[in-house]
Amino acid sequence: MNDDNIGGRRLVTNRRLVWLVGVAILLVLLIFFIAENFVLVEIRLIVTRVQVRLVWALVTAFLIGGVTGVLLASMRRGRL
Amino acid sequence: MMSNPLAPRFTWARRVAAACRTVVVVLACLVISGCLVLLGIFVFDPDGSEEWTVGRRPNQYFTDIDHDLRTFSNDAYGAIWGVAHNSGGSIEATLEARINGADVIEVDVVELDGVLYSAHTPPLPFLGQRWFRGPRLERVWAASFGADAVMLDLKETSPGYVRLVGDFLESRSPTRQVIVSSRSPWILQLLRVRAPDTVLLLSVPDDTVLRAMQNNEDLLETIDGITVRHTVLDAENAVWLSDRGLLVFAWTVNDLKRVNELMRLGVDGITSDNLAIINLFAGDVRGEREIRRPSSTPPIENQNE
Repeated sequence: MNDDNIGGRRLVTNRRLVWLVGVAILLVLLIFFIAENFVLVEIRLIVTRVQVRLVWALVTAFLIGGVTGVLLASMRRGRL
Repeated sequence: MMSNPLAPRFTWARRVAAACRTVVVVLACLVISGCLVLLGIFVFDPDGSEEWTVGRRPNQYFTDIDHDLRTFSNDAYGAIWGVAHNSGGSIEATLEARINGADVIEVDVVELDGVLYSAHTPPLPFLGQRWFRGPRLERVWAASFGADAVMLDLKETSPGYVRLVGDFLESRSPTRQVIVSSRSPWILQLLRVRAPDTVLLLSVPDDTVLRAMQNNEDLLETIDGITVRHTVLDAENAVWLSDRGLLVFAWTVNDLKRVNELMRLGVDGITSDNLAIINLFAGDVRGEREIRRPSSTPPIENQNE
C-alpha cells in the first residue's frame, strides 16, 4: 500500500507536493544566498555605524521593504 | 471473494508514479530539514559559518600595551621576530601589519581548484569556488613585499597541494626569505629538497608532537626549528631546543607578560594578533634581517634583573 494514502485518501495532494518542493527549492536558494553573502560589512546609519553580515542587512532591507509595501497598499485600499 | 470498489486499482504505471511521489516527498523533507539546520548554524555560529563559506577574517587588532610591563631593552624586543598572526588572510590585514612593522607576514595556505589561496580552513569542495572570498597567495606575496619574511603555514597535506607549494617556492625570487611551517614531517622533508633555502619549521601544537619530534633524528636534521603553541613551551623544552640549535617561534601571544616570559626562555619569534606587540618587535631598525638557525645562543638577559 502506498504510504501517501491513509484510508484511501491521499495524504499528500498534488497542491501540497508542489508546495513542499517549492519550499525546498526556495530554502536551498536561500542557503546559497546566505553563504555567498556572509561577509561582514560596516553599515553607516547616519548617526552611528554597525558591523553586520551583508546577507542579514539585505534580508532586513527586503523585509522592511515588503512590510512597508503591504502597509502602504492596505492604507491606500482603505482610503479608496 | 468480493472486491472493494472503493479500493484504488493500481496499474503498474500508477505504482511507479506513487513510488516517485514518495521519493520526492522524502527528498523534499530531507532538504527542508537540512536547510533549517544550516540556517540555525548560520544564526547561532556566525564565526564558524564564516570560516567554511567566505573564509575567516584575520583576528588582527591594535590595543596599546602597558609600557610599565616592558622589562627588556628596545634592542632585545627588536631582536625578536614579530609574526603578524594570519595577516595574509586579507590584503588589508597584510598592509596594516606591514605599516605596524611586522617582521613576518603569516599566511595560512590552502588549495582551491589547483590554485593556492590564503585561508585558515580549506574551502568546501565544489561550492568553495563560489563562496570563498580569500585572496590568492600570489596577491598576498606581492602585498607583503618589504617584510623581512613571509611564513607559509601549510594547512593541507595532499600530494597535489604539496606539489603546488613546491612549484610556488621554486618560482619565487630567492632574495625574499620564506618560512614554511607544517605539522607533517614528510612535507618538510620533501620541501627541503625542492626549496633548500626555505626556513622549515615543524608546527607543534602539543606535548605529544614535541616528544615525537625529539625522538626523530631524521626530522631534526631536516628542520630549522619549530613553531610551537606557547603553552607547550617550558624551561626544560626551551633548554633542549636551544641545545639542538633550533629556531623557536611561539604562537599566539597577545599578552606582554607572557611575551616577557617567552623571551626569558629564549624564543626567536612570537606570533601575535595585537599589532602593538608586533610594533614592539619592529625595533628601531627597519629592513631585512636574515633568519638564521641559532648556534646554542643563551636566552636574552632581562635588563631589570
